[in-house]
Amino acid sequence: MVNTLVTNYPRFVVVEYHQQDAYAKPWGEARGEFYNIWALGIPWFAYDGLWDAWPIDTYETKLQQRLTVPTDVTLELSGAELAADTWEFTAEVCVEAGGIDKTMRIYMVQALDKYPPAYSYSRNTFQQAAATEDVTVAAGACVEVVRDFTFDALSMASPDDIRVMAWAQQPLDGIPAEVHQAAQLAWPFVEVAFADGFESGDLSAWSATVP
Amino acid sequence: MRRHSACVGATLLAMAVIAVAAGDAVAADRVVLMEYFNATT
Repeated sequence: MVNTLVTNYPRFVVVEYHQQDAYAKPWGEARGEFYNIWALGIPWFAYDGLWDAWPIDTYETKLQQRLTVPTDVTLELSGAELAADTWEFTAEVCVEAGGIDKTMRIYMVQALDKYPPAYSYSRNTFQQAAATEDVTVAAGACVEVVRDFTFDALSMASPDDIRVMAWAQQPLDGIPAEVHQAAQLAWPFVEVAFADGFESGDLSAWSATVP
Repeated sequence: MRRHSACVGATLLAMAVIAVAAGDAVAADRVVLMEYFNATT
């Protein structure tokens, strides 16, 4: 089901956290505590930090509903190579003019897709997280959060499967904590996006590929 | 490839026009985050 959703919905970012197995990471297990997942057990799915999406036959309709909820936050993620295995990522978080000033906790994580390979449901398995940062953004303004990731040998063995995600979430201690906006980049971290101005209707700089 | 890109561009342009016509005060496209907790055991 998740594979189908990833394929069919471009505005959909997935991070998978293993729990209490050989692929679990301390940050990912702490994330499970953040959502109090063990009250219901796994598998457990949060959409935009709000609720468990179980049961599986409702995943798609709940995603469709969530996609229609307006947001006044934009998030653009970009990467710059510092070394063969180390990249600097910048998350530019903005609140649109006409939106509402807000404080958000900015998360940035690295995942490895199709890992572990023995399991068909493996998608974007969490590998490491950067330090979060709480930012206050006024309507019409932007802030940048910059973080470095060094990819380990496991990730560098499959660079095409490296993913970096960022999201802007309410700065709370647990669920529900709404995610206002999310973004994802895939190796080699050329932004899969449109030239500046496209969303506001300025098509003058747009082309099939971002220069 | 060019035809495909042009088609995608036209579709998105139509979506942008619809959004403007709807008069949304805020019009950012939401990207939905799913956080998925599971285990292999």
